[in-house]
Amino acid sequence: MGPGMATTEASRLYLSTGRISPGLRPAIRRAWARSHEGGANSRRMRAEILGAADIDRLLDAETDVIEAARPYLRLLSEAAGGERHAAMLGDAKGFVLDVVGDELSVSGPESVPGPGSLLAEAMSGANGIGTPLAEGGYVEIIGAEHFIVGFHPFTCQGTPISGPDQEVAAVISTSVRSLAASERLRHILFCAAHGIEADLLAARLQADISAFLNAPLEDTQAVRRLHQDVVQAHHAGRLGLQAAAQLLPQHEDQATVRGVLQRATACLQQFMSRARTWRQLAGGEQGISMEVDAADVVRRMLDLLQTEATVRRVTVVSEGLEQRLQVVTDERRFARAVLRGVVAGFEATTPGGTVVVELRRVSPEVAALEVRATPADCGAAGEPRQWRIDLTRSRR
Amino acid sequence: MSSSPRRAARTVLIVDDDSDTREMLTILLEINGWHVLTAPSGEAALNLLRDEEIAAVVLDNRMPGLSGLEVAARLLASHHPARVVFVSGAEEAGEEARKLGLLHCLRKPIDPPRLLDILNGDN
Repeated sequence: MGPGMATTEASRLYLSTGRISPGLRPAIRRAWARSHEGGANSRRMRAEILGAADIDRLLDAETDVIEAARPYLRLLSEAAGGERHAAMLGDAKGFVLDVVGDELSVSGPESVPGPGSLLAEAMSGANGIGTPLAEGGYVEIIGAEHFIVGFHPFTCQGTPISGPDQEVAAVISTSVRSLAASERLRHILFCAAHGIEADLLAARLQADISAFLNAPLEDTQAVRRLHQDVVQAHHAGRLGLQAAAQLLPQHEDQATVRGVLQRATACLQQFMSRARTWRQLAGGEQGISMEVDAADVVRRMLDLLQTEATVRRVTVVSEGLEQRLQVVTDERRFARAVLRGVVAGFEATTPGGTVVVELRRVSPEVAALEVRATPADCGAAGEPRQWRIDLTRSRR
Repeated sequence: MSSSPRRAARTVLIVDDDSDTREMLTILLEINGWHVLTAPSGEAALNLLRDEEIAAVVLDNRMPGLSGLEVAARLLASHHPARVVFVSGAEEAGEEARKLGLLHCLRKPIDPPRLLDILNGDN
């Protein structure tokens, strides 16, 4: 049974008998079961709203995520155009932290719950904040799929936000009055979620670079330049997201908007992947030796060094990175050694030159990473400069 | 090459070696009523600035060949009338640009509405 009349019947069934219709969509059925077990009342919202002092404390404690999310809530609101809508941010427990939307939805007589309201399923039934948190992923709740009758005019969708250490940091959702409007906002909601995650990671990156600059490391200049390069993809992603938010209400061709959002999402994901590699490289604490895939470490370092190679107009050729090569090493030290070797290769060549990075098995016990730099003007007689990092292979 | 005064007043040049950034910024500025030209390097940008009537330049710093700072220095030296928005991932580059005399320096990732305000002269 899909959303619509049949779901309204499911709601009537529950109200009259307390039974949950097996025909509800699986995620909704699970949400109703949790709502029921948690004590939610489907006839009215069991309002749990913090007092003024507690709201202040909550908002103070969550300042970072509120500030990171605000521009993205505005973008979602802009993308909703003339529809009645609310874009909401909740914390990891389901407390509403921020709401942006049209005036009626934010402060009118039928407004959505404001900051300090707890939208956990036990209080508010299946909804666009509590249910994505409970399910651990994106959920859309259409009309009568809301557990509480008072929420039936709305179609809500939400998705959790991961923090820099992959923990659930928050949840964002949109509430609109039509399924069509909700569908239009779906892709930009996903992209906005990545945008907030990127901003939270960028804030951590900023703190990391301050710590990094106070640590006496030999690669300071190279790692600082890499930090600038990492930020580039975040920059492109944000620009794309803003463009999509402005295109969405005025563009009939939704495929065009989706194309922009896909590019923006790819940029934000690239930023997050590179940012994690950069954090690992720049971390101050001593690493420990463990089994790692040397090919993966080298691939990630070369990805991080892509812009540096472009700026220097050097071609990088990689060999032997297609297959896993398990070695026992301190990953951070190895990553820094790769960075040093490749940057030394860049410096030994000239614009138009080539740096070959080759990972290979030397013996059953030893693997080696070789970096060979050939300047553009190196004639047949010229020898490329070469660096080698030896690695102990894992016995597995 | 000459263009209508109205179009010239809304022509912006994006200078960035990153193709994603050029494309995303092009879409954003076009929706906001700008006629957009792009250049992937400082050298290409200087050629366009010589040949076209351009009201504003969004100038990245870290590029192959001429850096954004070097391009900006040449524009200032030639008293080019374009409004330059200098964009960099590093605080220090922004400081250098301000010392050079650039008024509009943004740090990546930029706040897009702020860029639009600067380009529109609402700053």
